Amino acid sequence: MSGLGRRRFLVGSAALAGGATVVACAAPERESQVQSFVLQPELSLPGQELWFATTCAHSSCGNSVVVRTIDGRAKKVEGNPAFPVNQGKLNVRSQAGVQSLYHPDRLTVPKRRRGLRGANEFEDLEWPAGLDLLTEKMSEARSVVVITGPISGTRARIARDFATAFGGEHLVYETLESTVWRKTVQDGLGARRLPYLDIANAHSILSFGADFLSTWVSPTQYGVGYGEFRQGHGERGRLIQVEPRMSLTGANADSWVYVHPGQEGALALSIAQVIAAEGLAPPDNWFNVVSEVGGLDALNAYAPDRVSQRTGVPVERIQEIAREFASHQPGFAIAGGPALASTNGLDNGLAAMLLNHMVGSVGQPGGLLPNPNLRSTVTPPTEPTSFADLAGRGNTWLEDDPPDVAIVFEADPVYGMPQATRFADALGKIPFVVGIGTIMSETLGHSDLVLPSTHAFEEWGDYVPDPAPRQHVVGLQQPVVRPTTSGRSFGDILLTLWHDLRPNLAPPWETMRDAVRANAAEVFRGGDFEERWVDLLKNGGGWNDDWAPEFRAAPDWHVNLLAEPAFSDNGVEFPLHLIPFEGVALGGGDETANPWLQATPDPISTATWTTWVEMNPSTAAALNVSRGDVVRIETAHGEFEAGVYISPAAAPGVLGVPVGQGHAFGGRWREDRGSNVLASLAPLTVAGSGGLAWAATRARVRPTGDYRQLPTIEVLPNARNDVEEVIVQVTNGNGDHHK
Amino acid sequence: MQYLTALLPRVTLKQALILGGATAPPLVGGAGVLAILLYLMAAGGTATPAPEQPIAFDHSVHAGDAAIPCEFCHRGVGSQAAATVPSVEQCMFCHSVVKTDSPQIQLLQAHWDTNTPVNWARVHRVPDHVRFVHAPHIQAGVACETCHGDVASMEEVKQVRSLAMGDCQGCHRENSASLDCATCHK
Repeated sequence: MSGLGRRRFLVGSAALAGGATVVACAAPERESQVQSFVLQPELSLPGQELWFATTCAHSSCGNSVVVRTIDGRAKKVEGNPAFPVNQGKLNVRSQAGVQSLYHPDRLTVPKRRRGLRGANEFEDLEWPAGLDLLTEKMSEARSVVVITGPISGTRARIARDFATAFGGEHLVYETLESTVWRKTVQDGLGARRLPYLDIANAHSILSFGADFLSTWVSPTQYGVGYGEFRQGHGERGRLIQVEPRMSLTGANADSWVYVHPGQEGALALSIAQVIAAEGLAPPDNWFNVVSEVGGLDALNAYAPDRVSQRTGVPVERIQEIAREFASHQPGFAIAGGPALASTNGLDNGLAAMLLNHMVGSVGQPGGLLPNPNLRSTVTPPTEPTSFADLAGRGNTWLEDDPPDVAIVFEADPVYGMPQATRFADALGKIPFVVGIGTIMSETLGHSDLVLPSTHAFEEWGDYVPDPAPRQHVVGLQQPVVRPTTSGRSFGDILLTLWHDLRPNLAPPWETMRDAVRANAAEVFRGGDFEERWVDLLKNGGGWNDDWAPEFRAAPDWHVNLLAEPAFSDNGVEFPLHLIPFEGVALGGGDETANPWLQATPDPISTATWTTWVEMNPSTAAALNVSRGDVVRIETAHGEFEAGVYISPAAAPGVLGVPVGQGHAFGGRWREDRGSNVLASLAPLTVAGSGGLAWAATRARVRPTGDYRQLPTIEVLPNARNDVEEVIVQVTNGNGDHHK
Repeated sequence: MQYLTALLPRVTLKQALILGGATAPPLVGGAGVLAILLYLMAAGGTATPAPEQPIAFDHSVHAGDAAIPCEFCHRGVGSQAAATVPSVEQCMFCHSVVKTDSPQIQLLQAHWDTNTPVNWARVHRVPDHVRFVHAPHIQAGVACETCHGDVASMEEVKQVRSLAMGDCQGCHRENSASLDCATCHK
């Protein structure tokens, strides 16, 4: 202490303490700033929330939402309680809409291709230059094709009419398409619109592969009904799920029944045979229907003892299902997922429909109820172009008869179409491809011109839900925030081109807002429309009960006998069944860029951020692979890698692989992650509908020798990778488990 | 430093000197410094210079020469907590044609062209534990100048009152406004 006396030490300490106090109490620099808006948001008061109703109209959801905005920024998305489809409930994809809105990799300006197609080399353009280029190509074009995702309402009408006006057609691409279910409904119920499933009032549901609580058709709507089904009325509804790979709905079911792929229809007819033979439903219900499919003799060919082996379901189990289903009426049977994606998928679907006719649930409460056709043709729901039609177009283009210009919006067929169709090559034959979207995709990456579109929360539009909730419903979409990029809406881009190039054929509306408003005026007539328009926007759309629909047409049972499923291979070289499935978060792959959705655990495996293959322990043992082993899955049409996830809920001989990963385009959270199972599928179609038989591909598995720990939350991080943690029940101290 | 001023009672220089001397008798040399420090802390904004702004906005031209009412730009003042600074768009209502050759307006124009906000330096700030709402003050007829001084004559706006708790309380007392702690400390 020779150099530092006590006094000097104290003085120094005081100075240091004082200095530290002042520094610690100083406000952070950002708090000494006041940031001004560039554009003052309408109605916005700083720090105060505003809620706007709109619709998640882009591709995969269609729910009506209310968006909480503060200072002109969207903060939170909730379900619109007034909207009759989702009734205030919402799925995870819509919840993540905020993140896709503010995604850092969103396309912000038009881009023109510089390198080869698919090389991802683009240069930025100003909008006028981008539009000039498109206008120039369109003015020279003799024919145009417009390819979109499953869009709806005015947007769909503009796309269709635009394509027609320019001598082309509108193709609708849906990843795991609903074509076969629509055809099943059309043939089995005589209905043009998808029926309303009265889940809330049903006492039993027999689902052949339809994952209606997760991804099938309208899961949010069905989820609302499911709550009532389980807990709403006196008797707890019974759910039986029949499928080759356990889905989220299967995990919720009272009984999960494994069936060999493609044999769902045989099981359904066997259940029908038991109902008829044991008199479990009044003959008045089923006699005529059964006669139309060949009578009791035809049905007897599916007696449980005759189909047990081919379906893999024991005789007693088939009888139990029949008795349980028939004795818990009202109830209904549905088919979806892999059941409809076999080559005999339509037959499987119609067999399920036959059960509905037998138990009398068609058109009855607690069964399948008809939905009204729209009074106006202004906003028709679009139906997907079947895989066969789309692949056929691709073949035509490859044979040197392509259209001159393709306009692609919110559809990614280059990613989703099986490699065997050579769709990317077919698109490459089109001299000028323009891609419109919010974020890069494989198809946009193969385009000559990329135009950024507005996000669903930034634009005008409308949406006709299909299936409707037994009402005429049109959901409205309005901008809830100012656009964060220079993007323009798909509808506005088409209208601009239309008015520039074909003014005589152009519709009277200059903008999407005008178009949506005019169409709303046509659908919701009467009274003062100005007042009504404000109400429509406040409520997120309009709906009414002014209808009396019924299933008018008779069913068209065009098959008397169920076809056997065909597969891509005879099972010798490729012995395993490859069953792709959509996840609740990532869907068909269009949401993969969103990190919230990437990080949402799969409900069955809890895996995130990757591609895995679900495998029964017996299958894994035969292949000598363990959890986390990286395997190469080979089909006759391609191969890909995935990490092994061993699950007793995977049926023996079945490989369940999630759809959605394996992109080369689409931003930091999507690119170079996982594998694309769709590319390796065989290009087989469902007989009678043209849908892709995406569950008809056989595969084999080869270990690569690599190991990667699967990113799941079901095993504790410090647990050994190949040992499942056992969850220990709490005991009461005497060693007895609590009851 | 304004953080500290809000925590301390308002004191005069004499009080500060006594306080500083009493608390630091052994530190004779340091007592004076500490006293002055305490005074400056307590006096707060009266010693705060005008911060440098990213654009040299001149209130004396707008509120003074042009006599534009405060509420024209600070639109939230009569209805909500924050008085709010105007959006770039609002500045451009006039400056897309007015004085476009001025270097400062060209700075503004650049923000407009590049769609980037202006990060103004905050002049007045009360601590986080104070809930100050402009609207009831304006509705009670308190003039802007009462707290902010004669902004119409300032080229650069600076804080002219301490805006510390004693400052608020004095005014509340004079105007028979609430002195309940929970009025401001929610």
